[in-house]
Amino acid sequence: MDINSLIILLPLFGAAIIGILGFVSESFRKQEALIGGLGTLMVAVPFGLILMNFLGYHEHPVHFRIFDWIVSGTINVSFGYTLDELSLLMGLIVTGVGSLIHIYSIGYMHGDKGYYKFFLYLNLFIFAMLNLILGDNMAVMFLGWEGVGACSYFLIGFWYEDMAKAAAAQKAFVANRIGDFAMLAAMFLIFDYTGKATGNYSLNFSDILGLDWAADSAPTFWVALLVFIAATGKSAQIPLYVWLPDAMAGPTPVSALIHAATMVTSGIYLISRLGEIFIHAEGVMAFIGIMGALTALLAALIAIAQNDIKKVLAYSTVSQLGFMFMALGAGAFTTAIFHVMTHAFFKACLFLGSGSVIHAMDHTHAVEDGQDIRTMGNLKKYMPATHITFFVSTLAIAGIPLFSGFFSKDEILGKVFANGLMGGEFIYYLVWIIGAFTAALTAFYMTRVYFLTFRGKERFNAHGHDPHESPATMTIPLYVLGFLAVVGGFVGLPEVFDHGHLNWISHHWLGHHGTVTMEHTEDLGHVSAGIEWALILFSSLIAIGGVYFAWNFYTKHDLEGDTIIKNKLGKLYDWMGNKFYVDELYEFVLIKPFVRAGTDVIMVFDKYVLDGIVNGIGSLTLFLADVFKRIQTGYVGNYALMIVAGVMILLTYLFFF
Amino acid sequence: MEIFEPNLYLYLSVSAVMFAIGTLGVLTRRNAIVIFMCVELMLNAVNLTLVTFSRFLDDAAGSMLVFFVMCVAAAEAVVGLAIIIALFRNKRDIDVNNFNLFKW
Amino acid sequence: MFNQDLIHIIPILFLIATGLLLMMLDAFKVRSVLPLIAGIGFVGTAVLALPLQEGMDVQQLAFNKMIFTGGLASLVTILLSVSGLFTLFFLSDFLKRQEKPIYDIYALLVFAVVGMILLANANDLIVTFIGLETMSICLYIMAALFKRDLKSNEAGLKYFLLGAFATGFFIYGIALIYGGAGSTNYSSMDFARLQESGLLLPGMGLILIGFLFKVSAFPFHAWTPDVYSGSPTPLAGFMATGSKAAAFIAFGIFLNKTLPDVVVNEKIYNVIGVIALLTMIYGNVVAVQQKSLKRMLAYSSIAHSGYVLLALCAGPEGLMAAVFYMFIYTLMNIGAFGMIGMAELKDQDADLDGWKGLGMRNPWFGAAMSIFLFSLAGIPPLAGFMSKYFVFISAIHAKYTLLAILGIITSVAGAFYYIRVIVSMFFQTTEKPVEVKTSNIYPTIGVGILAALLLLFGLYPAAFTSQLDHLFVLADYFTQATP
Repeated sequence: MDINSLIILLPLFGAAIIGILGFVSESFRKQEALIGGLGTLMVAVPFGLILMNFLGYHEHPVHFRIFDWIVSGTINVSFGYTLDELSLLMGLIVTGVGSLIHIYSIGYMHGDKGYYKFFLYLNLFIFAMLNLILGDNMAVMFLGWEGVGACSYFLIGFWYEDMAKAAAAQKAFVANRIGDFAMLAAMFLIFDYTGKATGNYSLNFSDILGLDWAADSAPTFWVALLVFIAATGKSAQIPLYVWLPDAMAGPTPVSALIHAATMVTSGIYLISRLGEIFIHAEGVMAFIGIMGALTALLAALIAIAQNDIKKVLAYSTVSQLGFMFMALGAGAFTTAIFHVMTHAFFKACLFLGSGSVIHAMDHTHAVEDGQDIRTMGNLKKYMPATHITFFVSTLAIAGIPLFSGFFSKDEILGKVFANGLMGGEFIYYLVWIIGAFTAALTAFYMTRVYFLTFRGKERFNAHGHDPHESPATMTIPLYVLGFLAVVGGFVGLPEVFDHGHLNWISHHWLGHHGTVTMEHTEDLGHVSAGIEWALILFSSLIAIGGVYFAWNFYTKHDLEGDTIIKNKLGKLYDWMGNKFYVDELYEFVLIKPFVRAGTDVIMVFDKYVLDGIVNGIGSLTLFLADVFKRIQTGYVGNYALMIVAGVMILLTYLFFF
Repeated sequence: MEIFEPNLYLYLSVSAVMFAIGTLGVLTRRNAIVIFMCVELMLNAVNLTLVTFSRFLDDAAGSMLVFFVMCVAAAEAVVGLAIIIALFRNKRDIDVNNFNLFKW
Repeated sequence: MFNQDLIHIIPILFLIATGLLLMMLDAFKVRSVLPLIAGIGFVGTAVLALPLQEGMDVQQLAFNKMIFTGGLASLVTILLSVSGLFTLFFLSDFLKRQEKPIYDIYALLVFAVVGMILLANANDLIVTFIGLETMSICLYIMAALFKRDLKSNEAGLKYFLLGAFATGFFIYGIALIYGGAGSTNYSSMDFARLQESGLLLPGMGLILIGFLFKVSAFPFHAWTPDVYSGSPTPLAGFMATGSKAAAFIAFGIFLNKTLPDVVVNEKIYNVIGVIALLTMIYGNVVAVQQKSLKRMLAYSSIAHSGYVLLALCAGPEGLMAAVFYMFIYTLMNIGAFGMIGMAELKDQDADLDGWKGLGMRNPWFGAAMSIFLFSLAGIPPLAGFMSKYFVFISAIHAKYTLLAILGIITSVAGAFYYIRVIVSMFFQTTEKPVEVKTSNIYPTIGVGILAALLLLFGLYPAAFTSQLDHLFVLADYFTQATP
């Protein structure tokens, strides 16, 4: 067995050990350091292995196989994995950020009665996620896809005694199911198409991407559309994004790992992996771009009016995922992955910082809800480590030049603009305008959150229980992620420097050997250096402008600022505060009619038709069983007669028909 | 159908009739021993068919099979009679219609 | 030449010697070692059958092309020995708790397996017949093992009379095929002559009936529920698995050796397909009504025969699926019957009512039984699912799509009565609960191994199927035209 198999097997092994020991042994459950350490180790070692592969990468993807699952004449499904440029990068993000969040959880989950279960689910999640990104065929990928969904469901409902949290888990489950259905349909189409095109049915990525997807537009269109619908479920885009904000009911490390850094980006990963199909479905690409832009805008608007620190971050995640989809829509797959990476750094850092803040606020016992930014303020004084890391991550997400988010976001906007300019597609200008506006909004609301939390007036009364800085297991991951949030962008310097040759991630890594298709953007050529400088300047200006404006505004007005905005925007602000009533809309359009139809129309239908059918099948079976069993009279003579009758019928058929 | 000589059909018909009589016996009789005898009759009908073919094909395999069938019939008789005796001991009755503890 | 033949059948000879030794030891009253010796016999046979030598993984013919050895035949030998071995795990404990000190059974079990091996490896209808009868006669005695017990008597009587009756049809079929083809050997049958003689259809039809009876296909199934209910429980499991596996393999070989060369094959396949469907429906429907667990499993075994018959319609690929299916079915059904035996009180039938709450009282027992039942129901990730999957996929490849779909529907509906047992075990209570009190450790070991194997082959079927694939290719099955 290949040593690389350990990448996949160790997290599973960790989950199994923690699960079994935790289940049988009371004393093991109390060994927090042991559980946490073991869980972390089972993610850190795969990280090391992936890093070794990454550093020793020599142009050729590494394949390894754990075992053949189904081998039958025409079908061969194996647990096979590929380490190529794309999966290595994703693997580094997942296991790297995953390790840090495991360490953080050791401190964060301290004293929780489900401590061992938490690490069990986290390890299981890493296992499923690695299957998703490293799998060399869609069957294994789908196994991971379902697996991360299940883990996410368990972890959102981790504190399941709380009805609201259990309901949030349900919501995530249902929304994801819709996406999974599309995923399955896409897989069937792909399976069918490979069989028809080559005579060899296959779900291997290498076989799928080896086909000529330009030949027949119908399957290409449907596959692309269905994969995108699947991605809207997992990666929280319109119309299925509604589960992600509610998913914040889970413990904060979960929000950071699953609902910000890794799982929600799996849709983007999959579309990048299948980029070869998408570039031949231009209509779908434009659709992806516009949906991404609308999601980004909608989520950013909602984020401005939220007061729950985790809700703001959740909507900002939806918004940033929207940016990634804009990049995908423009065919800039490498750019989307670049943003996945930088986003993983700064958003994980922001979430973990918020967790640290919540931890501290809950400790004061002075506030009812430890997540409400209106009852915080001036935490800089008490929590220096959390403050500094949160601050740099805020600057990164806002897109302040030289911070990581700036490079990736600027590249997205640049690629979208170039697509409009070169391809002449009007729609991409629209996407660009929305994107630029959303970038300004992002700078504004993130600065607001930062300011209301860490600066301004102290709005809580601690009664001696001052908020305190979190333990080292929590602050060390914050520092590491904060550092990466600052410098992580330098792997993708803008094209304008040395014709993109300094852009390591696109030119030297992802796009270098065609792992991620570059064709679309390459064909379009490059915009001139002048335009590119102008775009960079513009991005910088809107980011700095947004931060500067928010900073001054909230320094001046503190919490009153919200009231001023509210008065300015009037009705719109109410809509933003109430999340544009999307949940209510879904309730009204989808759920209510079902309930009402259920009580009125379907009730009748259900009672007389469906029940009739179900009970009918039940009673028919029982009736048939009752009739059939009479054949079994218990008399030997009758049995012999049955045999002879059988002989007669059989021979009659053979002779005369 | 010139692969068989005309005489063959006489032998085969006798054997088929014997087989049918045996089958009917199994269906109509209720005494376990008589039923078993009817089964023996069926096996002997088959033996007749086998020796007939063996003779007309001029091939020994058929006759050989007859001996195996006879052995098997003997073995079955041993086991069958033992079972019937056990039944008779427990119930003083070997009418098969009186044995239906199991049904449905 | 003669020597070479003997070397080829060493596994069978070893098992026969074991059987004789068991009879001797029983006669000289050395009885405590009998189960152990029988176990050594089965393990030894399996080990001797392992294709260890170079070139032994190719199936060969021995004794004037009468019998298959090596390769695929070795695999079949191992499977059948395994069925005997696992029956043994449950047997001694069961007899002790039923207070029936019977020691002939070990020799009988060994000779039954000898018959099965001959039956499943025959290349000649004479050997098929001898194997079938060797096996059947042992099984008649097993059914009637408790000679003071009227239920056991009745089971023996029914099995014996109907079995002998069906044998009559079977041997008549052999006689007619012999007359037409001029030989009983698959390798030297003259199919052109057989077709011309007009004996093909009656001969084929009558042989089919013999096989269909043994595998308890509708409407030749009637003996099955009565015999299984009356037989000692672990032996009922053995009858439902080992003997059926051997009969199915012989049936499959018969079809694959004769049908590709005759023009009526479509007709025969249609007959088997329709019977397969009726069998599935009948078994699954009537099983729903059963209160006795043994009787329920008997009807379920009828339903399972339907699935395997469906596979047999699908040519060599189907035969492969059938071998895999019967192997998995052997593991899960011996386990299920064995566990029913473990919870059976003296002279009492295993009733679903007494099992209520058993899973709560005895969680390990409940968990293991659930594994067997879920596997029988065909629920992933257990091996029962994989085996059903291969059967249905082979049927679809052979263009029996409609039958496959109907089969899947019946198997889904059939899951109901297995799961009902699990529900009873865990979520219901009763006034008269049964308890599990085994007298030795062997049944527990057997259950553990079987459950582990079911999980293993469910998660990793390729461990078995790739090997099976390989052996089938070596045995030259895929060179013939598929129907």
